[in-house]
Amino acid sequence: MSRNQPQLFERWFQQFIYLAGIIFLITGSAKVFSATGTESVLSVIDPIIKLSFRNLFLFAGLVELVIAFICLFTKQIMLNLALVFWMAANFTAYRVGLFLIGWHRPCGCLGNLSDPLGIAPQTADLLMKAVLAVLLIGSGSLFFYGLKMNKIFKYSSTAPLTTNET
Amino acid sequence: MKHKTLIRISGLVLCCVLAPHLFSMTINGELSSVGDRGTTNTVSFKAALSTNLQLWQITVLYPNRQDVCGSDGEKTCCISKWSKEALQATRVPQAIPQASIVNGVFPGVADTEDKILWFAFASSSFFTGQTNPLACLWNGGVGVDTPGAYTAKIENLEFLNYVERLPIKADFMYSTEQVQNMTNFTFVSYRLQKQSDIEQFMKDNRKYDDNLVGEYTVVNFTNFNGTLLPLEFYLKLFSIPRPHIEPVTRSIFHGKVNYITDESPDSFLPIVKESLYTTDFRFSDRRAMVDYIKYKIENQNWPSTNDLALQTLFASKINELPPLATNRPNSNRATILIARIILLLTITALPICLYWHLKKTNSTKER
Repeated sequence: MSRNQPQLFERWFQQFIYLAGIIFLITGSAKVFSATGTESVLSVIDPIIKLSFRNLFLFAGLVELVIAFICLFTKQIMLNLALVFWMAANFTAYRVGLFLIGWHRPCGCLGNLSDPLGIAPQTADLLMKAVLAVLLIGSGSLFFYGLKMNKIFKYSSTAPLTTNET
Repeated sequence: MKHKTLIRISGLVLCCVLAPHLFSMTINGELSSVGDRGTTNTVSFKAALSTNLQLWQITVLYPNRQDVCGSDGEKTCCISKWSKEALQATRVPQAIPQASIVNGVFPGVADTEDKILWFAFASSSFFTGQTNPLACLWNGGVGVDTPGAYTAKIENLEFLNYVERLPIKADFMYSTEQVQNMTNFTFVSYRLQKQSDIEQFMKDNRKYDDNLVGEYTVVNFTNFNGTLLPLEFYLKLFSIPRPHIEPVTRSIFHGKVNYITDESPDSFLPIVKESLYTTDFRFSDRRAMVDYIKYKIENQNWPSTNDLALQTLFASKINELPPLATNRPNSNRATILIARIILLLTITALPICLYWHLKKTNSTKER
């Protein structure tokens, strides 16, 4: 294993984290923006969490924004990957829950922003499913690969990913 | 020779086209009902039938309104029009008549009297194809506090003759299974919204299964132009037996034919002469919990399901987000609990992992 390989991986990891940060920034902003709207659907109670969609959008949007800022402005690669993986896993669990209870409506992952953007709710839902799959698989595989790398480099002369300060 | 053949063929075609109207018949009579408190209501009716009994139109004159239902074999349309006196009494002098359209030949959303008369005179086209499931003929349940009235199945069904298949005798038995069988039937979802509601309803009411709740009998019939038609019939409705309460007759419907003519209507579907507020049950999607669409007919025609405007209206109704969070088709408590547990485990996984990691790091540092 060459000495440049950790830096190369680190760059890939960092690029993925930036991508995830930007995605969370967009979806989080969309949710927070939607939560301030006046649409009647916002007062509908979410079937799983039993919060109104307004509160749910606000809460999830704020969490996404916090994660987005952590991803974009900190260099803790493993922590960032863990956060992205955790958030993606939460969304997946939520969607699995919706599927289990037979809720076949499009998920409001973009809030109500799909309307002003001129995207059909079904298209937005499909797009968000694809994004979710990328985030979940990407962050999951990178995170567990990073753990493995750390174990390897712990006993080598190269610094592990989690403590990289460059 | 060629001319003769041509004339014969044209005659045959003409006969086929005109036959339903040439040999159709109109039955005039009265239907009275006696309730469990001795109250009596009588309505007069007119049932127009095509010769093969496949097309029909039933007009029922209530004291305050007139119902006209008719079928062209594919759909059944009904118009309910209030009398001027009734409208004046309610101070709505220009009320627009209400209409409904359902798929098939059974006037499922019509009033009890309309449905009983349909069963007596116009059910031939239904029974030619099948016997069950048929939604309950009478509105208001069958003696228990049911959220739906669609819980009677037909047994011991006999026909006046097996060509036209008009019933001469039928027993209606209480059946919760009927509700499950009719999940594709619009009017079950009307009240039993969720699958869990249906299951709960069946669980609560299964003890009443196989009780006789209705008994239909033709006591007199006639042969009109070769077609056997009931002249007098009874439909007795019974209450469900409950602990310490004997089953009693809830109400008796008595139909009596006064005279039959060979008149036929211009169209077996009710003629649209004015604007109608229409509830169209042909546009239903149980999964999306859409049972019907509502619109106003203004061009004096019954619209087809291919109508682009109606399809657009239906699509927009399906794509609407649910008005309430209650309309979830398969959500029972256990499933929701599982969904919540999965989500809770996922949410708590990261904080727990971080806590363990920090603890482990601290203990390593201490060493």
